[in-house]
Amino acid sequence: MIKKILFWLVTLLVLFIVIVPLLWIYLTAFKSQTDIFSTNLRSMVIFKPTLQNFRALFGDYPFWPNLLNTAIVSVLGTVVTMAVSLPAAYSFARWNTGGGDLLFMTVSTRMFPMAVAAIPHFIFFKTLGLLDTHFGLMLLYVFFNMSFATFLLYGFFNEVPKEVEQAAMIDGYGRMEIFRKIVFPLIKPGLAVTSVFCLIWMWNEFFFAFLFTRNQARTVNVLISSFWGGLQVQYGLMAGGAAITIMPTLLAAWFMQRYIIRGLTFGAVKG
Amino acid sequence: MRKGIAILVSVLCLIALAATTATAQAKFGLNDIPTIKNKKALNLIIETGENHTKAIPAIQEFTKKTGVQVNVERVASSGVYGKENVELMAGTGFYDLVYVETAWTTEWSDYLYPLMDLAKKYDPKKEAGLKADLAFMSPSILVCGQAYGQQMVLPFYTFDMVMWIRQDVYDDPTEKANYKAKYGAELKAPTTLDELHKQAAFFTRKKGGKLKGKPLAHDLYGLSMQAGAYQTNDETSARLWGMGSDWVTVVRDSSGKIKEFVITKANKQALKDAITEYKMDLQWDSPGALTANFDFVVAQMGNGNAIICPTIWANCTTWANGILQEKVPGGKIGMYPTVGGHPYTGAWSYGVSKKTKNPEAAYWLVRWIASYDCAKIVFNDVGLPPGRIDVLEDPEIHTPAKYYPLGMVADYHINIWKATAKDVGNYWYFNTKAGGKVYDMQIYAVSKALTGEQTIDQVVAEITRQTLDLTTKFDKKYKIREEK
Amino acid sequence: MSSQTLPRKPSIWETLTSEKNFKWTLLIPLLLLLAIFMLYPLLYSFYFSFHDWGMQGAPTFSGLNNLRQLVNDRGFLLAFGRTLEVLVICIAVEVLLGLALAMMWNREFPGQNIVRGLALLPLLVAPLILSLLWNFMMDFDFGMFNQILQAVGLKKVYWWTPKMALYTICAITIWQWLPFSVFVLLAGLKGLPKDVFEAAKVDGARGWYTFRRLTLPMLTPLIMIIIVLRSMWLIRLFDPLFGTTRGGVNTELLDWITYRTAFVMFDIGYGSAMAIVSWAFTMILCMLMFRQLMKALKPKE
Repeated sequence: MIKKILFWLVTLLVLFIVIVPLLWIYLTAFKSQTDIFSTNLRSMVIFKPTLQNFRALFGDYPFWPNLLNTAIVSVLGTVVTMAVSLPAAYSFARWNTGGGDLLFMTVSTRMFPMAVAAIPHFIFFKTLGLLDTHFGLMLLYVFFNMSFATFLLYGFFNEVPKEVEQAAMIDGYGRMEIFRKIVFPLIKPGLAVTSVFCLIWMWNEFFFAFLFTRNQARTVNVLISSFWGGLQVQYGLMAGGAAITIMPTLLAAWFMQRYIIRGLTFGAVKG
Repeated sequence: MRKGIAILVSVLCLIALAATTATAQAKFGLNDIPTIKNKKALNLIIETGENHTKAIPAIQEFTKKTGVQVNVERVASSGVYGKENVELMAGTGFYDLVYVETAWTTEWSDYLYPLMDLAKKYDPKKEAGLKADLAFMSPSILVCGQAYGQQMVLPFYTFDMVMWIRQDVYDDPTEKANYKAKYGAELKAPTTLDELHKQAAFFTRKKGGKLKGKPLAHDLYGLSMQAGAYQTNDETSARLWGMGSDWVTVVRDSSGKIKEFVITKANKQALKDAITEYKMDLQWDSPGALTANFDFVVAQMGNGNAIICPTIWANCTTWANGILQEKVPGGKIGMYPTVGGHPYTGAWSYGVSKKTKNPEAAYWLVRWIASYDCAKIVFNDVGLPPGRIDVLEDPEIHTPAKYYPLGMVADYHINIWKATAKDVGNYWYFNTKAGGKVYDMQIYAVSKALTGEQTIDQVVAEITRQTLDLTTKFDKKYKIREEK
Repeated sequence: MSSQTLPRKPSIWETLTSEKNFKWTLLIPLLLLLAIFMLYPLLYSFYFSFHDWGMQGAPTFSGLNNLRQLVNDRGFLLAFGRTLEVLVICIAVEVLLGLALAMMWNREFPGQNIVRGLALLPLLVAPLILSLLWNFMMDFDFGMFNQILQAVGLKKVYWWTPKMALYTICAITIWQWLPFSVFVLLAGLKGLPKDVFEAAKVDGARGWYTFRRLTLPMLTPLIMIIIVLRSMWLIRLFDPLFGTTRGGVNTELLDWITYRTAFVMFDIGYGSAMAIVSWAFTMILCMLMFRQLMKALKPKE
């Protein structure tokens, strides 16, 4: 009995710590500027809700076009990342191509300080005319995520027992068929997990989106952080923007939640 | 004969009339922009912020007149330098107008057209046209926007520093009496550091204490400063310049040309004194000061948590006043020169990029933004003080009804520009190409002294070392040395 | 000679999918992107670490000057040390707390989907936006935390004192990334073969023993993966600083000092030197951990 109480106490505490800051975002999204700067707790929770933040967000700023840009870049970027990482991870897992070192090199792509990498990339993109384009930003995101995706997928592929594949080869199946019919279904959960994490990362990326886009391909995060204005921080607009922007990723994560638990199993297939 | 004289007189009268109307119309306005053949759209950055959003329609008037589309990109002020610098370096030419903080003018001078050159090319009145309008702008602000003697940018809005005090508290008889009893002097805006310290201590009170005879519902702080890693350098500049010194001394020869830069012993001592004083002030400030930017100071003043803001931006006055009027009944802000009378100064301005595909339209847009009509809207509707003296001298805002706060803000600027005009040209920042880099280095260096991460002596040595290093690396025109 | 029919040259597709080459073919897109996007910045930065350049004009050669300065740069060394401190603290907390929570939630209980779903939330918000909002929440006068403290009668806390600020930063990043280790470990726990545990129970094994001898060793590869990935990201920790302290109050970390050197001051030469040094350090550290990880994963092959 005590165990149960303890369990729920800890669980609720953790949930509380996790949720309260996010709850604050949603509350702030509906407050007026003066209510946001209140100095007592009561008016923090009890206030007159207003839609003015959202009205301003949709009316005065290109919120929806920016959100669309984010969606395009993130979704396409995730798809391409998977297309690049999946075969690569399979190659590493199955044949240990290039020894462990090549895998390590791919994993190390995110080890370089972004601020310094930005300038050579900028010049490179300018030469190719990729600045402020969806394609350019997507390409950059693919590069930043393929290390993480390859690494994670490598782990999942490692779980598929070689015997299964070998048995199929003996039975006369071609390599591509084996991959499609046998291996792929087994790592589907892992693929789902990796995709969601990639999607989230791309959805939330700021630095390169800020530098590499102007008005055309600007993503919604750049817009939201721009409310950290020079002479006035517009917390209301920021919270409102954040409140909406979280939702698609929340949806994606919710759907994948079941897969996530099942999918991240390193050893589940063994049973 | 009589008829002849009559005709002559009437002609002369007509000429006189025409001349007066001509001078009345002489101020540059939208109607003076000739037809622009090149219709390529112009791209520029405007800072984010609710206030700045209100300035956009004024700028868009340009499109209505000329048919040239103006695309505005909103970027947070802290990100402008990085974003534009990368674009300028890569030579993309994307930004036709470059949003420049005047401290960057010399550094970016190679990227911009001297405005006189553009006037010569596109202005029907040639350079005289530009010069005529410049006559209405603050000379010291214009100097900030020059590089090697040439006008590179024109002001959009200015950021002079000011000292705010709660005027209603200073006028309150109870407070006046208490102060006199304690210190034996009149309670008025401080003009010396000693007075500042006394008054800061006087006004630092705990919750439950009294202010203006009424009990305090919260802690009260004597001061509110921007001591976070954002503006520490500007607050230090105000102190240094107020002491009559500078970060680096600009040495000129007999003809007035710059010979070299020297970090003199006096400079180093002044820096040490300034940071020591700055650090000492923290005891009368909220603990939040160490991470504060100007929005925090505005909130402190607006909510009645602080009485004196010794080094804050004058262009925040209407904003802070808005909050004050809501939160503190009877509250009033008074504007005074920072102690020493030489606050940080400059303007957010626009210049024309050398890589623009539409230099003609870009030139006229810059002229429009800095013009009387546009500046008037920016000041009156948006609350941002322009670089134009004629807008500030407008009798309309000097009527008793409108004096507080717009008239007060206007007068402050006019007076502070008059007082500091002859010194601004000699401030080191505005004369070196390494200005922008050293400027940013100083923010973090001073902040480390304030938080105690390094001792003040260490910080002074570090600032000296890095100033020498950065200036040697990035200013190839003048040499810098340290007087040991 | 010309009349002989030579064996038909294999088509490109056949070459690519041959037994020998297939594994390399799979890697082509990856390697291509690697070559383009990784090599260029590395070489670029390497070049510039031996030069001085302020974004204008030609870079001037300065030899080992930048590296020499770096070694004597008190600010850089302090940032380095702090980054290591943050690394150790965050990983320790994330792994230990993550493991504890994962163990606790590794059972059927009412509302489990909701609980687990909500626990994922911190990962979903953009880190930069989060730092801007946390800054406000931790504000001394207007922040939510202090107002809650005041409401229950406690004193307001100043979260950004020079002594405490770094730990506040740690707290923020742990808050955001704890779900990551919780979920990875939870999934790992769910994947452990049940039969081994059944057998142990029959043999009389109890809680702590089971944990130490069975659970932990089987979870080790997963824990190592978490440590490798998180280390990689923590050395580059940047986002929480951006909206809060901006490197002030004793919180300057490696990526921040690199950022402000290369991107605020645009001292490209010095900044590149910093980048190369911190990259090399990250590589070495992660390589060591990676080797450990590979050893742990090896028996599966």
